[in-house]
Amino acid sequence: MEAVDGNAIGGLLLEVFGTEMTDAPSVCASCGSVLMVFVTIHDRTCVDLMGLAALG
Amino acid sequence: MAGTALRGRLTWQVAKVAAVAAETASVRTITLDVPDWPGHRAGQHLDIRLTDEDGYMAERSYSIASAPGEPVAITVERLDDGEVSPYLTDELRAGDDLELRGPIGGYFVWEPGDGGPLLLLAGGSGIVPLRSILRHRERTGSTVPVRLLYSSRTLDDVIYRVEFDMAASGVEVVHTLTRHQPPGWAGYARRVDAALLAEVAWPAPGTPLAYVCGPTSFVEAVSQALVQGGYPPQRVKTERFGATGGT
Repeated sequence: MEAVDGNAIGGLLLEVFGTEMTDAPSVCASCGSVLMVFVTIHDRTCVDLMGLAALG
Repeated sequence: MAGTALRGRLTWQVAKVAAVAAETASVRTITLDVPDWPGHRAGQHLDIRLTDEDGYMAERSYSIASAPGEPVAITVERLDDGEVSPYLTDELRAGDDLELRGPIGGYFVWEPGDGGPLLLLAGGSGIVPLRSILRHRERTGSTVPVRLLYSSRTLDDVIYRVEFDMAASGVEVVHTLTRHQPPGWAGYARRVDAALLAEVAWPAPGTPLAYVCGPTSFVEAVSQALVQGGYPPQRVKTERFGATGGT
């Protein structure tokens, strides 16, 4: 797995959340956790945000 | 929200390639005619999607090189082991179609009202969004002072070199060449570090606004040095791409 800047998945975030997310503040759930997991299958994207305690 | 399936709201569209111009041996600027482009802000990016005959898709994000109000352009560096960039730099021609979506990004953007002075720090192709900011500054008549510190491996790797040689009033361009310097080179010849930043960067008490873009290692080293030098973290905006280069 390659760690990427939030900007690098800005398009995916915008697609999923429907609003600009690259400047959205967030709080991680625990140190070193994976923040978000996206899985896209047949044009449907499943999102796991369990790594976030808050997303503004 | 775990496991929620959501519909996409960002639209892919087909653009026409208007022109392809060589910037360096491995870098091309691709100007696009995008029929339904809502306009962009300086520093934003867009996504490109290529689909092969088998239906396999590859997406990549590219910073927009042009200023708001100019035709949409991206500047792409060929990565020899890349899936997308070799096609864009070597095979794409004017008149070809290209699928894209955008503009994207609300963090790494600049408007004249954001003030300055501006400190722009680029490693390699990280110069692309900073070029958009510079052109936007010029087109809007902004007088915000700018210092651009641009790290490249060699002089031949400097993107937009001619453009930067004719920098606008109020813009200082400082190059550092990390791998090879031509005979008589009077500029910097080392990687950007705290000592170099101490010589080039605006003093921290002047509330400068810094934009740092480049390979991850470059961005992390530079942004950390700026913060240690007194820049407030919220005045240091960063954008990085995964590969660690020698810039």
